Amino acid sequence: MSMNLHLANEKGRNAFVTLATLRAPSAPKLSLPERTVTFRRYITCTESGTDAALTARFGGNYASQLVEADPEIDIEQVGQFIEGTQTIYLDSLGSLMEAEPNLIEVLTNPDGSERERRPPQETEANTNADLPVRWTGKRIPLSEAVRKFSFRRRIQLQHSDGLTYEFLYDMARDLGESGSVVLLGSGEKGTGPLVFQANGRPYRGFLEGQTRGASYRLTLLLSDMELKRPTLGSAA
Amino acid sequence: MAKPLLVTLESASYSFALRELERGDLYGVRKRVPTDSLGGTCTRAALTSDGKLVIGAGMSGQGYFDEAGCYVPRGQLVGIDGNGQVVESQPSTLGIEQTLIGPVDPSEVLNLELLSVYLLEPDQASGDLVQRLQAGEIFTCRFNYAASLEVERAYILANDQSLFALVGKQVEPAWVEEGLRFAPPVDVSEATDDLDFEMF
Repeated sequence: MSMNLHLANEKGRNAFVTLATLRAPSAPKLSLPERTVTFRRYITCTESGTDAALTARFGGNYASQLVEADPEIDIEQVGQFIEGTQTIYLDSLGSLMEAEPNLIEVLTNPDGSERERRPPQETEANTNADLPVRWTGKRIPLSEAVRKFSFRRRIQLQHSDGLTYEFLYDMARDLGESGSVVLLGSGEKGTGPLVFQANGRPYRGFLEGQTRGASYRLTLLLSDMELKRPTLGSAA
Repeated sequence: MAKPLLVTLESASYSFALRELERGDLYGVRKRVPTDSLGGTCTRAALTSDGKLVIGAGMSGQGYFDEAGCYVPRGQLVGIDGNGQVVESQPSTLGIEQTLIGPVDPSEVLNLELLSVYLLEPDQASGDLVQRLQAGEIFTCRFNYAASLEVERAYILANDQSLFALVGKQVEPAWVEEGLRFAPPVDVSEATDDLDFEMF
């Protein structure tokens, strides 16, 4: 994700500002007191031990063979830790693919039914591009915004020099005094979503700010979901 | 079915059934699927670094191991925080009355690293609280869907669509100071008409 945002204010003045992701402190981890414990993957079965392989070898009911001789366990491989692997693909017949697979995009409806299959649509990042993300002028009272949208991520904007300090401080003061958030938009018309990395998740971005003396807090609230009830009876 | 969210406010108790709401429930899902030359769906697998073994679905397990490589059952593990102190497991808060705090300022909801959104269905006796929520008030309480090492925070709010609980961990942005001024303001009274072009 780009750590810079190209932003234009209400007057169309633009600047590159720094982004800082807000993160809660890390959760406690499962371990043992005064001992080091690591989470690891290990091999439990090889290809000759799969259900398909055993069925082909012994027929459908091979329970007695498992009890008598342990044919499903390759003592050379089972139990080995998996350290480094490379992602590969198996084709529809289960054979190793030596060329990259074709990719298609499958869109499904909220009820799980397939809506469309299409070639993948590539999305470019647009938050640190030549065209700035724009202050659209569409304001929503903060009290309404928190009850209307689910803000999945929050990113803090910071200045890198005196000019960007004034640029951001003025925005924070304006938004704080009005008690509102403002919608940001990308693209020529300033109506597009914010995409922080190529093929990344698009978000609707809202700026929210406050000032305290010469200090400010200006944050970008990112939403990918409205707070609303699903329309399907079974989903509700 | 999950236990209900039980809350108390000003000595009155309220109950809500809850169901997690995800983006796919509202808008559907977009997924990239690899296909082969026959149009069939490919499956992902892993090739070990020595190239000798293909690991497909169901061929691997995972767990915790000590320095000697011995398996440690999950039941023996405890929570250890950043200071190396043992942390007790916190039980689920569902089915156990939680005290509602509020109404809170709407900006407080933003101080949440959002993890989950739940749709809430009030029981018939929750009328008073539902009215206050629909009037725009927001309340907060402790929330733990399942037993874990941390208790999260839920904000209960409503709009014209439904009642919701926004659940996550609290985080508040720091105030950004102006910082150094590398070029202090010029005192015009000290300025002089004599400019030194020798400059060496």
